[in-house]
Amino acid sequence: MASPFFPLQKEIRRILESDSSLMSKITGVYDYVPERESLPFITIGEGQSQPGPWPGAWDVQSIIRIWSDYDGFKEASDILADVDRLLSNKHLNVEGFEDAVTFSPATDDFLDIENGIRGIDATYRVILDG
Amino acid sequence: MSFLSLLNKTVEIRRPQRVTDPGGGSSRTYVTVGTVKCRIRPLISRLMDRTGNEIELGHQGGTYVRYVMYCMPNEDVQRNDLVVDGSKTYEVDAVLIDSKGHHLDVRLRERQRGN
Repeated sequence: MASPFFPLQKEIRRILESDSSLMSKITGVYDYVPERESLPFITIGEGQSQPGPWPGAWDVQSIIRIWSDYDGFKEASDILADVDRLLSNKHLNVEGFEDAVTFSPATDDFLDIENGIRGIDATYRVILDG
Repeated sequence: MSFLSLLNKTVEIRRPQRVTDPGGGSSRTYVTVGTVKCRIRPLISRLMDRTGNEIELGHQGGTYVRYVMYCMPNEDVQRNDLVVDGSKTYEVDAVLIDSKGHHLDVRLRERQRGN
């Protein structure tokens, strides 16, 4: 049974980077963030998985991490609204899988006072049907 | 040699102006508040043989290089101001004054980014 991580990561990145509203608010969607890129941006690729509820299925938690240097949570919240519009309760076209269904995310704010960074983690549950 | 003759460059001082958002945060823009004659040199830690420190900023690597800017004691420079010297921009970490009020010792940092 093929791992769903990278095919899912590719599809999430394609969806996010295809949206002009979201891309007007961030500098990019990255797994590895080059040093020259400026905030705000989104990182993807972290998560966990387990066998799904039927043979051939995967139950994945995929973390979308929003990073911002705005003085408050407003910018990250505005970005999350776009991410949520694009990823919540959708059917995704993930390579190697017949279907991939997403749910509304669990979210968690984080704060790095020393570096002036705020952000939001949005963890999406995705059921992939192999 | 006078102290003034050692101040070999003029830099621009930009100060953050904030507009509060409805959630209690604030957007930040920078406004030029003046220019300052000064001298800037790297702050070298001889014990650690380095001028900066590695940082992790938002899932991103980089380094801050530290500098000291000397200027006259009556200059208007504050923490969180930006000091702009041509193509270089420094952030003001702290403003210190020597015990005789002879000059300001302004601690700066510059974020250097690699490829």
